[in-house]
Amino acid sequence: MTHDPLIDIQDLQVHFPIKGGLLRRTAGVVKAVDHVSFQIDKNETVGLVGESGCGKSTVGRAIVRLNEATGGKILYQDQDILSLRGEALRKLRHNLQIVFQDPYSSLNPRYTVKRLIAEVLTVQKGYSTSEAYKRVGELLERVGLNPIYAERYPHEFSGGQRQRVAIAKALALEPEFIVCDEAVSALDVSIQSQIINLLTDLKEKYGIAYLFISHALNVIEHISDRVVVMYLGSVMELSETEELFLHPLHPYTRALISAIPMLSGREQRERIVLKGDVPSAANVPPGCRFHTRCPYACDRCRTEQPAMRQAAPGHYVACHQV
Amino acid sequence: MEKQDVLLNVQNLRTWFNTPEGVVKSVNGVSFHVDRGETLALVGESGCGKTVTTLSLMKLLGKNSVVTADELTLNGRDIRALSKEEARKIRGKEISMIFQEPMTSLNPVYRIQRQLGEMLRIHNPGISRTEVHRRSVDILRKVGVPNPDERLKVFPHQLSGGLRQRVMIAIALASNPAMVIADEPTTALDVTIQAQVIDLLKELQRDFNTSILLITHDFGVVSQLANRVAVMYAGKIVEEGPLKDVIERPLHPYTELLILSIPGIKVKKGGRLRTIEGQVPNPLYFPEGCRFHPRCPSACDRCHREEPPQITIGGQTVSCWLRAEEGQYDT
Ligand SMILES: Nc1ncnc2c1ncn2[C@@H]1O[C@H](COP(=O)(O)OP(=O)(O)OP(=O)(O)O)[C@@H](O)[C@H]1O
Ligand SMILES: Nc1ncnc2c1ncn2[C@@H]1O[C@H](COP(=O)(O)OP(=O)(O)OP(=O)(O)O)[C@@H](O)[C@H]1O
Ligand code: SF4
Ligand code: SF4
Ligand SMILES: [Mg+2]
Ligand SMILES: [Mg+2]
Repeated sequence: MTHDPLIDIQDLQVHFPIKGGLLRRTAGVVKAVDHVSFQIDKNETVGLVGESGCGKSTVGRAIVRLNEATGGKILYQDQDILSLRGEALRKLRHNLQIVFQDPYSSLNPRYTVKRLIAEVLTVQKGYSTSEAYKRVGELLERVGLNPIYAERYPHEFSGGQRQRVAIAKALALEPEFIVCDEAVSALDVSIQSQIINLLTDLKEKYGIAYLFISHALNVIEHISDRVVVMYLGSVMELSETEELFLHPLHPYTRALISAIPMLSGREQRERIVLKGDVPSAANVPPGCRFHTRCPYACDRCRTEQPAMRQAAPGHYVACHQV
Repeated sequence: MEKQDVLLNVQNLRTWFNTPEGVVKSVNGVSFHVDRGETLALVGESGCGKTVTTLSLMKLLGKNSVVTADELTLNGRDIRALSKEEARKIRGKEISMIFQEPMTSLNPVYRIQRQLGEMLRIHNPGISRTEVHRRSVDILRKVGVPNPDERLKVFPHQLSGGLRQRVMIAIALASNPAMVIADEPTTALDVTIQAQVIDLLKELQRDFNTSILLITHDFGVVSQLANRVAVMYAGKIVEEGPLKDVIERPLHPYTELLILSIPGIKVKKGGRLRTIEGQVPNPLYFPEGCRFHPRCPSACDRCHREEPPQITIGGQTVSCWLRAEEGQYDT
């Protein structure tokens, strides 16, 4: 396989201060993303999974610069995204887009869809108003919506339709890369499938790459070329999709996969139930951060942090016991 | 069921919108009821009118909407006659809504503490500050929020998506409402936390005899919570009946296809997922005859011309010509 990284995330850290007390001093820090590294190739879909609160959205938001990183680098076209300012940052946003789970977060409620999308085109791409309006119709059709909907406001759609509007808006600038943050989670199965099919078609036609964030492993398995498994701000395992689902190595990944409800065509594995809560990201356990819930934890796990190493070609894992 | 057990009764609900494109007939003669302590699931594809149905009940639609019904009562009281102010009071106290998009119901400028506390105070006037805190922590823990003490102090944007959804559920349930309307309540949640939320809803139902109107596309959630299921298509209910009957013996071709499109029936990786052919029709131009006929594998001539009547077969009702010989026509 040729290796052609589009986005190269190196040692990314995103910390949020916790303010406390009367004077609202910084009382601690939430290490939402703690030394994360992985790459996304051109025309590749990388799935990002992990339990709620493990830092998935924060990684996605850092790539499109909606969160300021505390440390590390994200390389794109040989530039560090994290150090871009002004015009360069604006240009970057053409190429890197994000679709959120809650479509309201990217749609101004006071504008009609026509205006919302046309404005992106006139301001960022220099289209004339009439060109932009024509293009809005095409974009709506591409996501399976009737162009007459262009006159509506965001609240006048059903949830699934609104999500498609958000995708149409993300596509308007013909990006090279889209972060899909739980973009299909709230949709019914048939629309979910339609949108996944749409994303797959766009990938084939326009060579778009995706970071596909989801807590739903069956969706991740279907859509991803490679998968990154995160736990409490860190990457636990990274591999090609098929390899990961057939031979999960990390105890955390194995527990996640064992919890997928009835996938036919595969024996139901014995369910591994993780004990205890996910620890707070403000108080990450020492050693292997998974040790408080790991059924195999030993003394070494409690003190020494396991390094990421290659266990099979392209298959990386951070665990002392694999 | 005895009449007095009915908490919510909806008969022949129609909700239309005046738009520049024309009149959008999103809900077209929908009838159902929810008994005390019962869960009714409303299922159907995107755009079929589920959310509009619930927003009509809560008087939450904009000026361009026209809502009519033969009957619309909550606890025997006519919802249609309520003023905006009275309707607002009922929301939160008697009916609580868990919205499809969490940010629509969380206020971005207040900390969680305040938003949750407000709900607790509505239901328990005069409650002390320490008691509010204790109960807030308690309910957050019940919906699976780790470190609830910490979370109370933050603003909604500081929470992850899944946490936000759980906090919203906690706020909706804090006042022990008689009726909870839950629109896709667990979609952003991990399976384990989803199970926790379902348990909480069940517990609430057991302790307070709460009624739940559950809107979801997830038949897994439906089968764990619902007593009855109503299947909606293009603004109408096409099938309704007890959970077990509907899942094991769907009478309407649409219900059958919905059940078949549940993921888990795997296709080749990267291949195209199975979907029901075609799309939910645009409410501006519903097809003649049976609204499902353009997508129905069993459609015949009559389906193109005449709308099927509602037929009762055992505990189920269905609107489909295929079943016309099997049961009794409802008038
Ligand atoms: N602006 C912020 N201020 C403080 N803490 C934050 C902020 N944004 C996120 N966090 C915290 O960082 C952690 C990671 O959050 P993130 O949203 O990345 O999780 P996630 O993996 O996307 O989870 P979910 O599946 O629930 O969406 C969480 O503990 C969250 O509360
Ligand atoms: N304010 C409005 N003005 C005009 N049309 C509307 C309005 N609100 C909803 N609609 C239309 O009514 C139909 C039903 O919408 P509704 O939100 O009830 O769908 P839903 O069944 O909840 O779907 P989803 O699963 O996608 O949320 C859709 O075609 C939608 O575009
Ligand atoms: S390093 Fe130890 S605690 Fe961590 S996952 Fe491996 S076995 Fe478990
Ligand atoms: S009435 Fe005809 S078109 Fe409609 S669902 Fe039944 S068979 Fe299909
Ligand atoms: Mg998230
Ligand atoms: Mg809806």
